[in-house]
Amino acid sequence: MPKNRNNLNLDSLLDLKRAEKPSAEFWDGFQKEFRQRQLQTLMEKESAWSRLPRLFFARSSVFIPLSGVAVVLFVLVVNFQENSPLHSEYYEAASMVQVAPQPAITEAAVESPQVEVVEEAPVFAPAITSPASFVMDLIPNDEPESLSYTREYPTFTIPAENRAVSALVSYTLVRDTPTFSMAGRPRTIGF
Amino acid sequence: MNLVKAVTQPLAGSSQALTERDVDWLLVQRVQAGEVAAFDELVIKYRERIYSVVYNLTSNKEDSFDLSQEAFIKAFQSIARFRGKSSFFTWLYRIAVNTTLSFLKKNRHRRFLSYENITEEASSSEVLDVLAAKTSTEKPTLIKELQHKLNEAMQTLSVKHRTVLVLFEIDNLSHQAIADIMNCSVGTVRSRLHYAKKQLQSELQDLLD
Repeated sequence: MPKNRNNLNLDSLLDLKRAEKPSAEFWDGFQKEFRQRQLQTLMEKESAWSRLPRLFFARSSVFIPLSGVAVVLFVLVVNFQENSPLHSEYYEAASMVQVAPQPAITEAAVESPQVEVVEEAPVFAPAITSPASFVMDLIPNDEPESLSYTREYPTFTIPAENRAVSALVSYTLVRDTPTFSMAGRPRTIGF
Repeated sequence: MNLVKAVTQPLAGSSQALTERDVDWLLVQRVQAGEVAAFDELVIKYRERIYSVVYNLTSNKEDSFDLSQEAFIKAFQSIARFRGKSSFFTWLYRIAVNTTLSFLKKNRHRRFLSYENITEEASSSEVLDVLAAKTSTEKPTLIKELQHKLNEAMQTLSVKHRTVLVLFEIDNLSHQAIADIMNCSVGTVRSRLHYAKKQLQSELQDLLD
């Protein structure tokens, strides 16, 4: 690099930059500070797991509202599932099955003059309190949907806390059992 | 420095003299074996050079203190992963330069300068006498003005150009060493250095005329 007439060039200016140095005392402080930071690093390394709660609380302004939102969402989802049509249909069906067996049916059938007919299909016989004028009145026109086996597991013998399970079992049996069709049966039975 | 000498003297006295790199590697191995105090020797050995690089890049003595400390702590934290493929010195410089460059990138909009003192020897240099005579200014005032102009001119350079200039002109590293530290080719280093000097010269034109 060509030097100017005063012997001043970029290198000589950069010499000044090289001469910018801290004092000797500065390095004592530097070393002391480094040892402190080093110690802190070592301690942090040892208790890495203990940082997790600290991290949570340090970011609590984010985590706490997020946790609240998560709880609210959970509650909403649970409520939605309980009120959903599928869910209510299931419990409706289960409760129908649970109340299906009526011990009064047999008694009604006994009262009825058409005992033989009723005995053939006691489950489908309606409870009749007044004497029938016609045999046809005793036979329901509606086709029964299914056979029920719940008579073998009477609900009154099942403890209250287990009735939901019983209902479920009954519902499953009803659903999976082939239905007994009355379609081919003559309606003039008893004449 | 005494601690380093204490370590190196018995080794140097052995049949085969150890290079600087070997001495560093031995110290690194001691740290890796769990001897934390061995790292102090490495800090004492390199603290002035690391601080100088950081200071000349930032032109701020408080930031330089923090960044040098951070660089040494980072090196200490990851020394277990150091396998000795490069020299410890290159590795440490790379950490310091990267830490500083990240800092400068993060704080590019809020920078202010704070200078170190100029040593006695530099204060009595011929250059200052010439300049004092030329500008008829008191020497202490002239030194402060020069220091300010120099540091401001350095800050006008891009970070990459400034880094190359500092490592080559102030820290006297070779082109190859700079290329290793900056992870670029020697050609790139040369080109950046040329451009940086040219730009700095134009920034300081009024002083050099």
